[in-house]
Amino acid sequence: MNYRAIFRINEPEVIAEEIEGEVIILNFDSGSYYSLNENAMGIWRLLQAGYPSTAILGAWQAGCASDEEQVAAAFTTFMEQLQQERLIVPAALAAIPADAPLMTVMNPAEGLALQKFTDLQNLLLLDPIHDVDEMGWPHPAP
Amino acid sequence: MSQPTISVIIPVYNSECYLAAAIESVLRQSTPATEILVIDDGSSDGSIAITQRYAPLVHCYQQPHGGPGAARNLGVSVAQSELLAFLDADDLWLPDKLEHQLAHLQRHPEVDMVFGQVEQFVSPELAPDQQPAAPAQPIMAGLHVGAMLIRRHSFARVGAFATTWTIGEFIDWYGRAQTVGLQAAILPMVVMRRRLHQTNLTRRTQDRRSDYLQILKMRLDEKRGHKQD
Repeated sequence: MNYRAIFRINEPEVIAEEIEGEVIILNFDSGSYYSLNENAMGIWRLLQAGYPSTAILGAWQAGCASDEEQVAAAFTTFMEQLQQERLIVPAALAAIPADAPLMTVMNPAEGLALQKFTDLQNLLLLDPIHDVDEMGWPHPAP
Repeated sequence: MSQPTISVIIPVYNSECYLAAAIESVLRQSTPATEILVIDDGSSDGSIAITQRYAPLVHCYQQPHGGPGAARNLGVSVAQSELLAFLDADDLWLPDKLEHQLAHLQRHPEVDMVFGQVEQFVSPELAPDQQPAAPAQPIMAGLHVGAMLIRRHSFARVGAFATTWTIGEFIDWYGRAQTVGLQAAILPMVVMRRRLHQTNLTRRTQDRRSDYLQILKMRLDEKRGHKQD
């Protein structure tokens, strides 16, 4: 992969939030939702902050302190997964944070895991979105 | 064998544009509902007047604005029938929806709730610049509250719709239904038409959509057997 690439979270199709120490991600287009393990959460936070892949990989390698090639391979696989699931998309050059990304010490044995769930797919794709504002549902065009 | 009774619950909030079409799609059922309950959730438009046009075939109940979950719960509390069905005020049933679903429940006593396919359509009266894009998948297996017919005692095993959420309350409810082990069937025919209008999509960009993530987190914790507070 091109480590110089910059990705952004695929908003508004994708939303994500850290809840009680777990990042939950939802892709409205597919109806799939995801959970990240602790290592992957560190990567996700850096993606959210706008760091380029090369900086994120560097932070991940520094955090792991183990075989660089193996660590890079795990990172590449994880980033490809995120792209395949349309959770991240290439971004134009944007405001990249000036400071180097920091990552706490990682557990390389746990790798980078993106867990995917499709059990609520149809529910999420068809969910009736109501209870709008005081205007209710839109009025027909005049 | 006598036919079980069916209550249809239609929550309404400022939906005067579409409400009459929804009510008429219920009145046109080949197997008629026993009672039709429109629950007005504090509308300030002409929704109540529209409902009153259909009296005494349709009964209207009013509550202060509390959201669709609260409105459906009020409907369940006043419903008299053995089977419960729901329809949102902007959606439509196909004329044989209840007939197919009732027949399935009668043939399969082990099934608690029955769904069908849902066809999505772009609301035709909207001006071109108001129309949302046509869905990639217009017909889908309809795990949608408006496509469900459920035995009342099965509904009671799951309990009321949560009123905590501003959106996603059926996802929460369905997750609980799975947890208590309700058996669901999905019929192969289209039973409901879901109207797509601008609001369906713009809501996704609003802050309240993070309710979905809270619901999904709860769902994951349940799957993993975490104790819920």
